[in-house]
Amino acid sequence: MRIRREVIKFALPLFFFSFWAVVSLKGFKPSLFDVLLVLVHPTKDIFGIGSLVSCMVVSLKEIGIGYSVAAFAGVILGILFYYKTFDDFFGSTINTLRHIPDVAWIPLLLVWAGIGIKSIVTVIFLESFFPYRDKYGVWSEEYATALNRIWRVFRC
Amino acid sequence: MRRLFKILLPVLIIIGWEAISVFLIRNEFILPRVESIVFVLMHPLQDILGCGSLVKSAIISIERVLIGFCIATLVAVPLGIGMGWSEKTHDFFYSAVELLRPVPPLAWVPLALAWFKIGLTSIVFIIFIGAFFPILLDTIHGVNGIRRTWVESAYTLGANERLILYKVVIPGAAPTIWTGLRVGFGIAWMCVVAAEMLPGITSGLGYLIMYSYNWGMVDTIIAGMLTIGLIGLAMDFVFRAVETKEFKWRGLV
Repeated sequence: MRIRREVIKFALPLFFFSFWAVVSLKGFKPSLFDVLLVLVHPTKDIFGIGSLVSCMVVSLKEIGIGYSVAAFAGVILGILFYYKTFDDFFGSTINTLRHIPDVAWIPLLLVWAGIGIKSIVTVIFLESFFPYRDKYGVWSEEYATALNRIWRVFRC
Repeated sequence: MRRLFKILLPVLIIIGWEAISVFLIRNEFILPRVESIVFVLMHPLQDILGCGSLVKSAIISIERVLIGFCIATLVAVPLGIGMGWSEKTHDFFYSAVELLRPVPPLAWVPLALAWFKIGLTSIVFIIFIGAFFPILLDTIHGVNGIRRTWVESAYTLGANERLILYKVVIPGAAPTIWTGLRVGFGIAWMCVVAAEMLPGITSGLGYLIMYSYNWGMVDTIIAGMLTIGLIGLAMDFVFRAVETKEFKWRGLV
């Protein structure tokens, strides 16, 4: 029964890849075999722009910087939102900015920061910052509500 | 007093922006004056560089989002209900969903262009991918979250499986499905802006801000960004209002 369940779980991907292999043999592009060839040679240079591994290292580095800054700022700000004054002061501005998609910042960032790591890291920062702030903001609100209830019970 | 305090930061930002623009930067191509941005926003029907007005671009973008979002909803909600309700359906689709889910919508762009060429279909496909997974996952989560006691009570009262699905499971999962739709719409809105920045696209808000960038019109870029943000905010408000009105009971159970 357990084996049958595992078979069902992988049936769709297996069917998909088998179908892709068959149509690739008949000349469909992108061919599954070309894709596999790139994947099994991850250190091979592609069109002179570096290998899969080197591109991945560059992306991870950019994510590392943008994400660390966003996580730090997001958690700190999120916790500070526990204070009503802080929430009142920053809330409306952050809530408005949150609804601008990160990609919409790209033209402005290209003007302000130019093409390069600064723009990329800022986009990653924006992408990661708001979920953090939201999460910890919600946590702070829930925490505040719970504390208020306790205070009310003990008539503080 | 509290209301005034709430708008203090936006007011300070506007004053600071104007001061920096006038006294420090003094370059409209880097930091335009607030009045230039307000001028663009106050004339939303005026044609910008021959690529349509703010309103026209916004309508085109909203149309594209609605098409992609509706298709994603029509596919993801029934599939999610099926995956949440039936173990076999869940097992069959699970690996494929888990395999494709982590791929960001924008990473599909080259493949979408190769398959559907430049045009509405590729834009709708990217929006579909963006909205599909949040809706699907929240639908599965909503159906899985139905209390066993509700289902068992319905069985005890003589309901069959089909009736339970329509009268207990779907209404019970509706608040979580709605949250998925809200999140999905937000991502769809992000995707349309990104998709409209692709080469070959000649309309929509994403195109407008990218085109303005090429002409160095930073005031139009910022006005476009604000319009995108305001539409996103309005859509989110509508979703939240329905959530508060229709699914108030969620907090009571």
